[in-house]
Amino acid sequence: MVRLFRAPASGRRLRSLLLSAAALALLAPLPGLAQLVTGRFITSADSWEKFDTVGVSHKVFRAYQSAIVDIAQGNYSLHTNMQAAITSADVVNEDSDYRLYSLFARIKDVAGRVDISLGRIPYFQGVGLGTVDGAMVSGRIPENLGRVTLYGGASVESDYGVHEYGTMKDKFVLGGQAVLTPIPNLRGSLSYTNRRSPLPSYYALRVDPQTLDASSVFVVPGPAREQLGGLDASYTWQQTTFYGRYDYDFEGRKTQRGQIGARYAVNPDLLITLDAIHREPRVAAGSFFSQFTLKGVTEVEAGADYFVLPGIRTFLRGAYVAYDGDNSVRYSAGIGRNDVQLVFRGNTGYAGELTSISLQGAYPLLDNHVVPNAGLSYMSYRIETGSPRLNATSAVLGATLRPVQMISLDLQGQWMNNYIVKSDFRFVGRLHFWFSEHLNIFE
Amino acid sequence: MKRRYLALALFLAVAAAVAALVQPGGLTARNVQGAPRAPEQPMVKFSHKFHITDAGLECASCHSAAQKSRSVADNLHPAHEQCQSCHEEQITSACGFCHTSPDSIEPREVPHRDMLFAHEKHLLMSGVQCSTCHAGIEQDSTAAQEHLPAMTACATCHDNVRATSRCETCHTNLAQLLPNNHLRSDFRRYHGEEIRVGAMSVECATCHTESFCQECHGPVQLKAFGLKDLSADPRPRTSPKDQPAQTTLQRVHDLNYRLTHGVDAKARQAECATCHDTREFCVECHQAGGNINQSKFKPASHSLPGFTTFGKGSGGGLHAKEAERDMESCVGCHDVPGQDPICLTCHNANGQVR
Repeated sequence: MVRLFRAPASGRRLRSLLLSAAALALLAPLPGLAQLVTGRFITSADSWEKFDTVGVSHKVFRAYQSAIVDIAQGNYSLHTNMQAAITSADVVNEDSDYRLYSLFARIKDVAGRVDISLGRIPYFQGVGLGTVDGAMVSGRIPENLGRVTLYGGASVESDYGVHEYGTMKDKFVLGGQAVLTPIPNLRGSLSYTNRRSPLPSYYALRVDPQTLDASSVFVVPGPAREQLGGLDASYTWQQTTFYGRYDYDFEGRKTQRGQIGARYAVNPDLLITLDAIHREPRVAAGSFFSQFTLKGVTEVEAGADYFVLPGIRTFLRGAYVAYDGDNSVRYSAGIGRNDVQLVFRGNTGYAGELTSISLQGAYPLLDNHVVPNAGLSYMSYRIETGSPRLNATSAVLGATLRPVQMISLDLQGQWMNNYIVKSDFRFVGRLHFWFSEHLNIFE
Repeated sequence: MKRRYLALALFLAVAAAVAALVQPGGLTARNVQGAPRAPEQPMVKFSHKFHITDAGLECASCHSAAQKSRSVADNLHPAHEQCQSCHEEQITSACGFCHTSPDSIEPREVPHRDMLFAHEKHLLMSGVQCSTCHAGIEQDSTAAQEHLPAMTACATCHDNVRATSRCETCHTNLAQLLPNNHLRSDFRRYHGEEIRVGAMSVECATCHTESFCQECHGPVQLKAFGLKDLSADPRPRTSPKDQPAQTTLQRVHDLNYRLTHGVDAKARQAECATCHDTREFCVECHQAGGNINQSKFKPASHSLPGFTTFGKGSGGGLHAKEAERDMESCVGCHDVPGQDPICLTCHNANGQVR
């Protein structure tokens, strides 16, 4: 049975429409300039056979539709990115089968230096990373000294659906970032974010410490809280770039992460990197787990990228990770061009044991109209001391067909072997259409 | 251990084979930092500055074919006929007047470019002149290629407002379309550092919009699309790139990554929380009663003697030490929204033992 994705409830739909209408209203009164409409529509599907019981199987088919559309006219623009899915499986699914990643209007260069966005807006501002239903204002500092960005509104739930906002004090995001370039080759950033997301209420059995009687209680947890500040600096001196980062957790009143590193270009063909990072565990403030004593992890990583021949890149990286009373090592090496790459990597110590090798590539043929691709991967691993060592292999083989520049069709077979499935084969396909047109709908 | 040595030997053998089979002459010159290598010596002695600024010639005087050109494969360099009107004597008797190697003159081939570009279309647009893209050419006293426009020059108009900046607009080879710095082995970490100091609004926006970033940096959930299956991937990518890891379904990680991701998480290969809302993402499979076969996914350490010890002074056993060392691993399974944490069975609300 094919189950269509659920439409939002009427109230939700109304709010979505209002949001869209508000955004469009910003565009409507524009003078008679042509609108640039750019869109990308991607239809994807995959199918596989699933065995839940020995000898009994059913075929699963799932399809997705993605739409990314941007409309721009002068300093005004509207952006949206959404996705929906259908599936043939009898899957228990309590959440929406659509995702509204973004839907926002933007006005650029207000007063010559400020950009304003309204709607569902992705933000990537230092320690702040996510999506907000609200507003974002970004202004350029005179003399090209940098940029200041502020954002705020309701926090977006992780399924990217459209939901009731509820109490705003439990569901908001506020934050900002100042990026500064006070002198040539130096870039600095100061950022802050404060996010709260509601957690679900629930019933739980609790024991009365006096009577020792068990009774059902209704638990209303406080919202998940995250309040971070970040300081970043990057400075390039001759052939070396230095980078430093410091994140502070205001809720836990402790350092969240500190990092220093350098990248040194010995010559045009050789780049050496060295990084040291200390991280404290990311445990939600106010959660039960934050009550315990927690220890951080420190790692040191060194690596080198080297062109052995023009176009042939090799790399070698290794890292030592120190935990409280234990340690782990990870390493990797690789060789490749920009169309094929062979990578060997491994881990030992507390984190587990892993040895893997992978080869993948894609090579355009027939004037780029046909691009066959293939990949092969083998892993041997042991998750922790005392668990068995296991193997896993996977392979992909496919091609991209692009008869004209606007349309491409991807076909790929994927095969897996691991301790759960001896041989699992899937077939996936994707039809990709994009366009860009100048319209004159307001003329 | 033997398997590891075998894998390493296999890697070295294939790496050697790849290196041996490659023909260096057929590859694009590039370097680690991403800057192009030094240009080759010009084949002719020619001063754009003299001809444009001093002699007052129009670009079309020599490059007349540009006005009707619809392909990057067109040869737009002037032939002898164009030069002849002024330099007839030198053309017939003094090759060295123009050619840097008069004894070994070879016809100049138009380099292959995986691009779509029509000079004709651009020159017909109002306000677009040769110098709009080839800025500074009138001051150049050589015939070198530095004045072929860089992509940043294209981006002044291809900004998604005046003209689209989608890759496919100009580029035809989407399998090998990556700036050099994206090929660095530490690119995943490097790009995050660059973004945090403001690169998005400067360098990255030339090719990418926020939608692209959301491909990975959304709190991607397994449950949103009802994917309760080990062999399923979270969602299809929308990237136009023609590579096996990006072309069809979501392949940020290897197909078997669900079996080995625990190693990466503990080894801090990457910070899972950068892309996943770990509070909801991990427990979807790892919580007791989740869709994972618990008998195989329950950590082996949980079955060891002394994993949990009771009573004052016992220290709690191995589980207490593990929790102190790597609480994120505990949270991945036991911090389930809408449920009491299992720890409450023994610990009180302040984390102390009852």
